[in-house]
Amino acid sequence: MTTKSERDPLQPLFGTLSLLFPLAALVLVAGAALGVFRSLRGSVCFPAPGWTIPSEVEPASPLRQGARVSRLDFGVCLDQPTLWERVLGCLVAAPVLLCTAGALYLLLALLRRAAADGVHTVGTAARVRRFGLYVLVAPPVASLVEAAALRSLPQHAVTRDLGGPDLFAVWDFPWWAPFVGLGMMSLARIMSASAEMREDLEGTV
Amino acid sequence: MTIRVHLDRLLAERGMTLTELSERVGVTVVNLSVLKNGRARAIRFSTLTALCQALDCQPGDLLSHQRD
Repeated sequence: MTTKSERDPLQPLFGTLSLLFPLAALVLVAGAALGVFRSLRGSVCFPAPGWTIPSEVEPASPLRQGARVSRLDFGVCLDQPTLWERVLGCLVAAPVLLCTAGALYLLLALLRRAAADGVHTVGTAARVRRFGLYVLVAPPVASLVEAAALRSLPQHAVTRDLGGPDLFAVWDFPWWAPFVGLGMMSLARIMSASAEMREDLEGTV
Repeated sequence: MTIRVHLDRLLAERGMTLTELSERVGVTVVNLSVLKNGRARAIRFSTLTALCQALDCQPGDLLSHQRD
């Protein structure tokens, strides 16, 4: 015998996400908030992948005054950062986490509306399309912002140009995002066509 | 361009109610009401056949095409 939950096309994703979303959102937003708080209140610490920055105790160290290599944070810390350096510190910490929390929220909202209005509706198809657009654009942009901040910050810690990696070496491009985003947008087109067919069918006497 | 349904007129001419017609053709009153009020998007041949038999009419008596 088939139960209702087995027939529900939104399960098991809807149930799982409803259960995990509060915890996942709390962890993601708290992580972003903690990063922002640390950048705004104390030292600005950041990883420096691809950079070779000698410690401030070494002779001829290029580190500027108030900057130090931090083994605890696996990178460099600016103890007296400027406002712009604090902003860059926030941009290193928050965008991808907030973008992920936003994606989970949008997905949950989409599933809730689909559960209320029906899966095969033009409205649900439009919301799937918007979610696909978000996935297509937001993660690459968020990771690019983080990479740009991460590329920029080490230059603020040194007194001379050390070169360092270029932006594209630092940018951890989310390759899955274009495929998933475009896939969702194609799925939305199929859903829109099926919703129109359903409306025709319902209007058939 | 619209398709008009003349179910009202045919029912009145035959002194039949929508409920009676529903029982004769085996289509729910709700669906017949949708058809009568011009809210149907399509009609099955089987429904059209049953209606024509019950009302003793031709499809052209039931439906007409009107330019806007």
